[in-house]
Amino acid sequence: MTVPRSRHAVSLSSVVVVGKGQISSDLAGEAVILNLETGMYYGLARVGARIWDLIREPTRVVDIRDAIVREYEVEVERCQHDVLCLLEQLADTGLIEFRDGAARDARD
Amino acid sequence: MIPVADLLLETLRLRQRRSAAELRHGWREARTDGLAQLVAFEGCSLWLHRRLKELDALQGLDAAFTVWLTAAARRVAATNLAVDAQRDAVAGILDELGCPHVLLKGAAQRLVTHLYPYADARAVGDVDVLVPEQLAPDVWKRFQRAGFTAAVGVEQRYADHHHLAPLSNEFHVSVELHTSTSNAIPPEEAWRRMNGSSSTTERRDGATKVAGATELLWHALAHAVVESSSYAFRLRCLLDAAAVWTSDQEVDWTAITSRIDSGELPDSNMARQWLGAAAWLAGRPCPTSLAPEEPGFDLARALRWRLDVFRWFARWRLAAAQGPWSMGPLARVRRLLADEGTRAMLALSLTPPRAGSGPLRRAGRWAAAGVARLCFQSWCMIKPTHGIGYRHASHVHASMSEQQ
Repeated sequence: MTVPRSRHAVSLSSVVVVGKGQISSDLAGEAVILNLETGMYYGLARVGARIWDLIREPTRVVDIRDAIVREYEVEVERCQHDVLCLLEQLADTGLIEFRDGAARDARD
Repeated sequence: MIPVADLLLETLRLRQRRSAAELRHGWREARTDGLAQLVAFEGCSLWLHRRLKELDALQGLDAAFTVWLTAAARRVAATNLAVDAQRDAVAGILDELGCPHVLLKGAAQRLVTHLYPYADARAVGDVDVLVPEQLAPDVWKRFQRAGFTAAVGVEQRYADHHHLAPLSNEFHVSVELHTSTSNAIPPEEAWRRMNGSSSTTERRDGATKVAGATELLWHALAHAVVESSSYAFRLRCLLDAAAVWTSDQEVDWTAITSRIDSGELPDSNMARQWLGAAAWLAGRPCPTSLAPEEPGFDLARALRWRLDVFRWFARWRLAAAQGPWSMGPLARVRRLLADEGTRAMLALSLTPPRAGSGPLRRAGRWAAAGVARLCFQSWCMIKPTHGIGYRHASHVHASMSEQQ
């Protein structure tokens, strides 16, 4: 299966934070996020919800990866890949913002 | 094996539940056919999902039901978030207009979950806010200038109602500006009660007022009893009162009793039955002055009947794919059956036809309600009064009296 390429290229040095145009709540350990502009909602399972919690404040991607590696039994490479994928998806749906301009629109 | 309707109630009950191990075991064994329809009908998907997660019982459940429940809970959580956003926008506009206001019902309770556990576990559909009567018409017009619209021609319909015509904007969450909490209460008295009991609480972009425990509970009761028995005795509606009841906030039971005794509500017997059911769900004693006549409304029996109705229709493949609130004719018959059981348990007359129906339609509706009532009475004769291990409502009331 071909995975559609993200419009955003997120790197370990990127600083990410949850966007202003969203609102979220805890659903028994998961996160439900509503994009206020599109009316679309998204669910994040436990680890995704933890990442969402971490980026309520501007956070470097490398720090997110390290926190998840510390908290869950996962290899660094696998964790890094999954974190980057998730952040790219969140960026594509307009739920997160970049604070340092490190993540460029991949189409540029 | 605990009947699944009883298991649902015991799981949702806010206090005095069965042990977690017993509930987990019950859910592993549970027959879940018809349960999704029942949970949707009762408006308790978010609440049940939260409880099952807390019990660590979600994994042991039938997989199809788990998938349905998780998706339903997520959808309700997202809708509630939209209501939160609309509530904050409405409060912001009212602040800008300098209009004092008190938030009501679900949108208000979601702001004070630190006081009322599980108050945010039900589905909320709109934003209700009380404003002083003399300011309401002008504020309603100012909302329209802020991008809100009312459906064409509805203004007249709400001329003598306790809230103005509902407003909505591109966010699709309806807003109701109330001048009172009921048609039976003069606006100035409603404002005195709500504003007088309110406390200020933080929202996303400021602060706003939410009524105190006594008024939240009273409004939940008044709204339920005035609406209809079928609305009132659904779990979603009872949770509003149960969440207040189970909190540590002080409720003025003398005031509640006095208002019921003064005839402020159209049916004081139904009010007491409703409070008895809410008290059971809260796991708290019902004050003696408010206790309904024995045996009280048997919530478990009502739920067992509703579940059986959903199961029959599923078995006969009638309206099986239609949600409980579908407007299809078979789905409406199913609702009539479910609701007629509640009315029979409350000793109410048959469900009346809609106002303005023609003679033929009225006759048909009476006949359908009569058949539905007969079905319920036949079901009562062949079903035992209570399932294995279930404490009948009268026993609960007796034990509650002992606690007082």
